[in-house]
Amino acid sequence: MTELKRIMYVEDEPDIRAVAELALSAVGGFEVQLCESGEQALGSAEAFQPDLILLDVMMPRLDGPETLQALRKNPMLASIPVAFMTAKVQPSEVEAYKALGAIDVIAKPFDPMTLSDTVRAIWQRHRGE
Amino acid sequence: MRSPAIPDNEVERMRSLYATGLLDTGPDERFDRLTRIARCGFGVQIALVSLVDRNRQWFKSRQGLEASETPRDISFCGHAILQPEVFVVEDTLQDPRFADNPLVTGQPEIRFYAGAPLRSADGFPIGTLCVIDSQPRAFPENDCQALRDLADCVEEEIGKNLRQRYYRALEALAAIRTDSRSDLQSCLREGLTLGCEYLRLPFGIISAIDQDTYTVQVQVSPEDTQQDGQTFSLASTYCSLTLKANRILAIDCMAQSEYAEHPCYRAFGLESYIGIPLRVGGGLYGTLNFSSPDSRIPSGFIDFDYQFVRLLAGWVGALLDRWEVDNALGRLRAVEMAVSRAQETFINRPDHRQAFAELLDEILQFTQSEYGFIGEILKDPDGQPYLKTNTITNLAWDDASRAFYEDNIAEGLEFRNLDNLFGHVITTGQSVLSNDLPQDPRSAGVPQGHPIIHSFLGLPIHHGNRLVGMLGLANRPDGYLESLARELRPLLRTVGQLMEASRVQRQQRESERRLESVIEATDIGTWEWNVQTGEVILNERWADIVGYRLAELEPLSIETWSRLVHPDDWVGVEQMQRLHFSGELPYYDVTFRMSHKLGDWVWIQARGRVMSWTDDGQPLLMSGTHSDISQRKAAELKLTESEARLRGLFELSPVGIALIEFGTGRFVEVNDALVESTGFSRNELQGFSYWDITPTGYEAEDVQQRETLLTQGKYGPFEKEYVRRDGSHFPVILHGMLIEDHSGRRLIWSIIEDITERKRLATMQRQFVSTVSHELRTPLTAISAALSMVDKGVGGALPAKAGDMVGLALRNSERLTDLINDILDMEKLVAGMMPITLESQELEPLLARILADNRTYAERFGVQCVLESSPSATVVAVDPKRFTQVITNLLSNAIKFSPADGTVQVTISSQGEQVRVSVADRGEGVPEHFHDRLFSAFAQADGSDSRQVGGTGLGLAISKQLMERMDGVIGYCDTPGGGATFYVDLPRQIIQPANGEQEQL
Repeated sequence: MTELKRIMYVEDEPDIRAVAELALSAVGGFEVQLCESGEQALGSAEAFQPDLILLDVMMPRLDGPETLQALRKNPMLASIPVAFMTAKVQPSEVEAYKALGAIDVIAKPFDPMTLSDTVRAIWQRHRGE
Repeated sequence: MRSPAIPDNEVERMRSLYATGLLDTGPDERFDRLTRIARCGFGVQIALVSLVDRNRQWFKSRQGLEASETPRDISFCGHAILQPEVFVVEDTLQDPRFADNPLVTGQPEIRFYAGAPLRSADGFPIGTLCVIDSQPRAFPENDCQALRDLADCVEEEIGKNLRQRYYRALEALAAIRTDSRSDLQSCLREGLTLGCEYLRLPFGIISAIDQDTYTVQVQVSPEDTQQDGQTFSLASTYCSLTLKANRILAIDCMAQSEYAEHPCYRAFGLESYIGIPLRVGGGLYGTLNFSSPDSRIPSGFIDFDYQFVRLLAGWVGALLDRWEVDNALGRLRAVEMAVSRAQETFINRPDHRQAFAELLDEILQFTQSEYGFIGEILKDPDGQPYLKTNTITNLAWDDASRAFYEDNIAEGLEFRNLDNLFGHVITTGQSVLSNDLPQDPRSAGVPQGHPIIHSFLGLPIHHGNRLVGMLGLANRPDGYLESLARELRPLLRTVGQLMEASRVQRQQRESERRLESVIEATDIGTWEWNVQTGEVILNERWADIVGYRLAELEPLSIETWSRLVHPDDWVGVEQMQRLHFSGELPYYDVTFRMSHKLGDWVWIQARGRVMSWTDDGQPLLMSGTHSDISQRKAAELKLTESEARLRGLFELSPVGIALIEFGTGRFVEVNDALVESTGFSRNELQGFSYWDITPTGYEAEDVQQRETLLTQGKYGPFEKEYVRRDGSHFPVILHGMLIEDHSGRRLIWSIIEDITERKRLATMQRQFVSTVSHELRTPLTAISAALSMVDKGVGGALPAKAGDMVGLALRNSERLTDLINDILDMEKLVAGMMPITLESQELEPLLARILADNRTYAERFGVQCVLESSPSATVVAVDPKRFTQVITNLLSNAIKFSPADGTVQVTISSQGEQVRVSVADRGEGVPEHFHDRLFSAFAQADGSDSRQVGGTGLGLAISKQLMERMDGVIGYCDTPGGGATFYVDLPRQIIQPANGEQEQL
């Protein structure tokens, strides 16, 4: 099983980005690249080659789902698993995100101390399949 | 010698001869005078008036001859009557016919004969005037002429004789005293006797004929072989023939006539008869007839007989006529008397029954009736006519009928059986006359023991054209005649009028009585005003209305009233008087104010009318009423005010209001608010039914609301949509009630609140809350996360004081997060946007998981949560996430309120079909006064609590909402021994065992 090492975190809110980076890198020990928009993520993903991309749903211009679709169109990036991070975690909403191709949805607000564990668990569930 | 031949018309000649009545009568100077002239004038020995009888010649007058008669066969006159001219034999010896005649050969030795035939009044040669001498002599033409002239004189005298007899008879007739002093019967009898004598017939009868009945009124017969008053069937008398011929009828010899087979001839053997119809007062009365068992041959009835009978008939007729008129006048006078007495009695006696009784007595008397009744014809509720007697002869025949009579006579007997003689009158309105009742088919229904009724006259009583009653009379000894019925007509008319008057009077009394009670009951003041004199009559109540006693207002006059009338109301009062007096208004009806004794004004409604007028058309007496309508006026005023207020509310209401016809759904009235909401004009809207502006999809709901309206009288509130004029829909909340207008039409008052704006505001508010909450949450996430990591030493170890402060900041950021989450949950629940998906869950493992999840939190408070395991598996239908949220909320509350080292006990118990999960702590419990607000939003028992123990104040409210959405209930009770117990109840789900297990069982 491939170990989860590199995570790209896409979030337009800088403070959340900072907290998440701390939670993932300092607490979880992952290698994290932060992107402040979907466009930026699309631009840097090829270079970074993340094992997992965490996408905020609500972003100006290119939002989470749109970014996911764009990623899927790039053969180099199409196979990278993506999880959404959102406050909207109604079961129906979750189903809708999964239908778009997300492997899972992480509820916001997240607990920074357990975020890494959550991400790792998602990863393992995804790889185990 | 040759005997004279018998002439061809010998029979008629003989009748004519006999009719002269000359044969065998004494000497008569009239004829003797003429024979003397002849004897002297012609210078002969003998002159004769000879009448040629059947076998002889008889000399009515003779000069120069002793014999009074000689045989016909040797007579010269027998020859003389065979020719019209004078018969002359100048020398008998030269004439072979007479040469050997004994009168020639013997005494009186006739040598010369000249005879002029004598013709009777009807032209038959009955004899001669002849001159005879014993010497032959010539009798030239001038002698013949002279003899003829003398014969004419004799003929004249013969005729005169008949006429004389006729006139004598007439004189005798005229001499009969027919004045009023002698009685009719004897007058008529004298006339009849005269007739019998003149006609030489033994029987004479004056008959009255009614229908088929021939009654002998007066008769003359030998030794009274007949009686007055005898009756025969008309058909059995010769008079039937007379009536049929309708003229004088004479039969000389019945045996030889065509009537030989007539029953009268066979019964009485009368051979001769002469009869004539009698007319009285223009109508047929009967006959005058004479008859004899002897035939009237040879003379038969001659012209004078006919004349005589005609005259006598005229005489009898005139007499009867006068008598009838007298009689009728007498009866009419009696009727008239009865009428006037009846009227008098009616006027003077209040008791009409007695008056009817007296009237009936009189009628019974002059109609010679035994029984009678006068009755009204009334109708029962089914419209069947029946008879109710005003008076009736008491003909009770046994105890039962006597009792019936006594019991009912005061009120009047009622006869409802119409299948009898009464019934015939009642149902047909025609009179009934029967003189042979036992045989009459209409005489049914006479009870056993009832006195025998042999004749009956039932007469209808009319008033105008209306049948109002009947008069019944019975048992007149001579039976009833149609003429009696005719004569009673004026009486019946009067009885009809009296009956009507009696009825009207009864009604009047009744209505007067009612009026009196109405006046008493309705507190109406009454007044009567002599318009000409100004006098008035008022009742006590009239005065009472204006606060006075009547005595205080005296002397009474029209001034009494006019003084009290409000000056401003005079114009209306006077105008009304003018209109009524001029006849433009049939009633006087006006409202005005009158001054009350206490100084205020009383509203009066006055009604009345002029009751009588002066000869020159001025109003004389006027009467009417006063009613106090002050209260009504006040009420009217109040009603008007309240109407206006309600109308204002209706018009100005910002909420739509409509009056809708229940049956059709049509808008009857709508207010401005509704007009504005719909965008239709008022007229357009009032042309619609509410169905016209309801979009599809609301049919079922509308039907249900109508049902509610019908059963409960009101409906709603419920929400639906209406269509605006531009086609768009808008939401409304409806409620209303069912009413009925004065005509019984069912209407709906509907409040139609346009909630477009309210909905828009609610949506805006929700969006605002949602937006704000989300906006708050993002920075809070960052704060919490950052603090959390600092607290956990991610950024390196902190000094102890700093660590405390970070912990404080972290706790508060968490509280803020919870608060925002709760607000968002609440908002979703209220908006119905919270998705709930029920799944079957085994309760115990679910609870164990929730307890485990909260262990960390509990440990933070030093509290232990314990789940008491249940003996059997329990399955419930819940949304696991939301159920978890509820139990977590209860647990966290329990943990927060538990004392340190306390225990929170979670128990599953069975409550019938329900399963209860209780969360009990040993804290302070919830004060009683707060129990009913526990599950309201932002409620905490003590404002200070939240700061000590945390919590948003929304948790329980959210839990309550969530439980309701999961068909559960949340509740509270005190923990026995202190503390709070919150519980949720859920319906237990029946566990469906797997198939394999079922087989094993």
